[in-house]
Amino acid sequence: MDKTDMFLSVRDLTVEYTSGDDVIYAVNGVSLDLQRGKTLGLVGETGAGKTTVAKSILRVLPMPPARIKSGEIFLDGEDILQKKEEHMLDIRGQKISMIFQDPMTALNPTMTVGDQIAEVVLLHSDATKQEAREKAMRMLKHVGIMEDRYNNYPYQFSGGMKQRVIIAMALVFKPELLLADEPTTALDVTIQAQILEVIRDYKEKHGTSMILITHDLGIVAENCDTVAVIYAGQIVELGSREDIFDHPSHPYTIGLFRSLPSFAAGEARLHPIEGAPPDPRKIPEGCSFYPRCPRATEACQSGKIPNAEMSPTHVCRCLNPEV
Amino acid sequence: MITQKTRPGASTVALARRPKKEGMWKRTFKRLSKDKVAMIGLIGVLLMILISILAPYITKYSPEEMILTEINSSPSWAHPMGTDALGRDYMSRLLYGGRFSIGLGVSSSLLSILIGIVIGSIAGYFGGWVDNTVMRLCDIIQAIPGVMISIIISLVLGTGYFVTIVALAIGGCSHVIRMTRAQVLSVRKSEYLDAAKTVNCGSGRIMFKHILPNVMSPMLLDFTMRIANMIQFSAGLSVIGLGVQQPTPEWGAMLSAGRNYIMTYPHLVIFPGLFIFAISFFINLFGDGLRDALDPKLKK
Amino acid sequence: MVRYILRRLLLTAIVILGAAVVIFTVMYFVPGDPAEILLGVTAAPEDIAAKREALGLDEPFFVQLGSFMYNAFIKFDLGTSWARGTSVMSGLIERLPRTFMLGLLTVLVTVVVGIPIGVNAAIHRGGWQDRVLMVSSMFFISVPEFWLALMLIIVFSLNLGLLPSFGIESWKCYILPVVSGAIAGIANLARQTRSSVLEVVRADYITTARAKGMKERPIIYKHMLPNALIPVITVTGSFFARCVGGAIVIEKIFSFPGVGLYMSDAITARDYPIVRGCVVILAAFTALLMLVVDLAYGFAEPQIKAQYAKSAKRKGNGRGRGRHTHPRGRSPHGGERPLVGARVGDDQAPEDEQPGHESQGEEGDQ
Repeated sequence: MDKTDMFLSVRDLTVEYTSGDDVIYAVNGVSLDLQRGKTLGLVGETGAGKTTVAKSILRVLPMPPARIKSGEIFLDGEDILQKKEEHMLDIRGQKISMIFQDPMTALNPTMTVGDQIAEVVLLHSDATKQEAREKAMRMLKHVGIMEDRYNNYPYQFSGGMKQRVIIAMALVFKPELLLADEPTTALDVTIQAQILEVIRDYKEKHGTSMILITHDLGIVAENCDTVAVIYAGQIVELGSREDIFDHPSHPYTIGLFRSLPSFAAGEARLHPIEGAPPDPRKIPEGCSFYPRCPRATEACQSGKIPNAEMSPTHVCRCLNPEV
Repeated sequence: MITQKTRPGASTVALARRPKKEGMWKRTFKRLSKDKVAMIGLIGVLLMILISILAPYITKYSPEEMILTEINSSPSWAHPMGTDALGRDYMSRLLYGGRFSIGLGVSSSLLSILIGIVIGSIAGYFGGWVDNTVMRLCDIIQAIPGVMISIIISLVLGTGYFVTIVALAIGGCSHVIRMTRAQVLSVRKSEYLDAAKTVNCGSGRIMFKHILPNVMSPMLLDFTMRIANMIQFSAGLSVIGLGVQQPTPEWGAMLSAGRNYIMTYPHLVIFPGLFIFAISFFINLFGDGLRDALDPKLKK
Repeated sequence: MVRYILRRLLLTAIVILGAAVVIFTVMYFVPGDPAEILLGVTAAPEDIAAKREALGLDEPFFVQLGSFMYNAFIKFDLGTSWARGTSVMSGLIERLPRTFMLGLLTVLVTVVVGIPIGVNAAIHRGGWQDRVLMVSSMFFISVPEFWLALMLIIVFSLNLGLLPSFGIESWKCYILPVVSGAIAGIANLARQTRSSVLEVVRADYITTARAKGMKERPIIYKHMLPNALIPVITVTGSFFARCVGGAIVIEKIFSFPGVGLYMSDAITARDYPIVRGCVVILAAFTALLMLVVDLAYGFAEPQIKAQYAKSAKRKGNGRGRGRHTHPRGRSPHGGERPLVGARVGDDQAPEDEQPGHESQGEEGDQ
């Protein structure tokens, strides 16, 4: 996969957080690619580093504790990690937008929702205040909120509606890349479906590329073209949707699928993956999944585990992948 | 790093309503002992308490001994902190004064909290008009500036050491009353949920056992911070002519008395103020650390 | 919303009346016979008795209370000074503006200096601005206010002769009193502000703002400060109340002819009507100020404003305290209680000073 063909190409991203005396190794050499117009599902449990990856792309990590230690992120062929901050200011909100995980806290409580959307308009265009207002009202309508709610405050909205506002903010300038960080995790199942539909519709209409971060495999199945599974800050498996769902190779991926409750099989017990992810302050040598892996061998404990190519579209970071 | 399996059902043991006192205190103490700044504060406070207790061994002068030939003398080898208007060695008065001042701070703070706990519990327990009355009184007391309350009570009770303690204590109890009452109310509510198990005649004692642990930690912090406040307050009262007055060797009284000589003998004002500053400073350092240790979530 | 304000006004009025009752009652028990004080111990008993009758001191307690309340609140007459024979009210009218001015100036200086220091420290968290603040604020908070005043007098008045240490003739007379009061206030306010801003700095909506492509500076002014400064309102309000209510010591030290000195002299002269009148007026001021602060807080935070309006519609429960929990679950002053202040009058923990923001336990009553 030549990086110049790809719309987005992340290469070997490594990010650390410093908290007091501890160093937290949040992302350890993540590489992934995204074609224009496609959706990449980034799957993993809480703390695996998914949000950090997304925030790194947009470069909105809190920089005192966080540090992008190494890596490259190519957007349309240019490494945006090398770009100056002024350039990033242009990119954010226009070329790349992000939808955040918790709608309850992602909006400024002392500003009307309308003004918060209008703010995006004013930031990246010459519009007058009145024009920005009008645009903001149109965006509200797009996401299914009555225009007369422009002057309401965030506390007056439910979680689902707040998330719609956030989506409206993100889509104002028809971004080419949308980073959706668990956009539905904090919402009810019924609302989830609605929100995803709003995003999907938009995406189809405008050909937006998207990285959809989630821990819900069901959402991945319905919305994503390619899937990357992330564990302890590393991509352990990467492939098309069919590759991952029909032929999961990495023991972790297999474990994830097996732990899904299945009514059809009529089972009485759940099958969680035994153990817990490693402490991000001490990433072990070798494979991070080693302690929990049913297919582990001696060799897995040491050295950097290379990517095994299962097919032209499917790689797996494992010495003993399931074939 | 192999971690233990999680067993479903292990965490559903019914939680005791009383917080685990022992665990909480131990944890707090551990956190506190790691906080160097707080420890400096604590050591400073203890040091000051120590020198006031050991005053007789540190200075050879008695705080009442008047050497009329050496009135208002500036600091010298014989009198490291000079003498006051009646020829008494200042350092000795300041050292002995620690007993009075720190004693005043501690007792008025303690008294304030005791009053608050009692009244707050009564208000919360009886509810109804008793509660309403108490809360209205609290509102009213809060409207009157704290120093004013202490002043009018001092007018009634007169000047002097013990009455000042009382006056100061009353001025500051409204906060404690509210806190205690809130605790009592929340406990009462949950008690009623277990209506079947609660036998009403024992509920008084149950509440006592339940309120105190929950109220203990903010109260402890309150108590600590209040001590320094009370000492400074009392000094303020002395300046007005109330509070503690000479010849009691209390820092505030000494500071106030020295005011008249500020132009010629500034040492009379400087030293007591330094002592008051020192104890406030150490208490603040310790209190800050204590607050962080009690609830690390608040730490920034 | 208007209903809420009116209700609060009514309740504040009741509190003020109640305070007056309490003050009168407490002072009723002050020892000493006023008639004797006025006429002197050597006066003849008949004269003393006559004086007592003239002053209305033989009436039963409730009558005296009643006439005091009537005079005070209907006729605005707070009595007559025993020593000077002048009306207490006229004395207050002359002096209250001065004390008010002193308090206002102190608060202004505190706010103008303290808030930027706090914001700066929070933004450069861990940097030298932050550490200097944390270390020095502790220091300045612990300094006893009037001792600081005396020290300043020694240095600036007596030794350097730069500033006057008493009186009110020139604007220079305000400098030292304001500085003495402001220093601890600045230290405290800076800490509070820092604490409050830190809470906001890590908020999700700040990340949202960054993701929109906003520059840091506008983010600070448009998103951080409006949220972070809300708790500062209440802190500043109660500080103002303490400045005015607790000015007595500062005024005595600087011979500043305001309400405090009026009261202080009256205490020395045992001129109790003046003392009574001063305390009542100051209580009224404090109660009104707290109401203003509460309302300001409500206006600043839209969710609180709505709660106020809602609670006004609930059937009159006489509580008057906006019964609510702070929406973000944090205390009105950003999670950090002010430390022991050197301010005389500061004997109440800060939560006391905000009548509208009681702990969650309050919700539990019927």
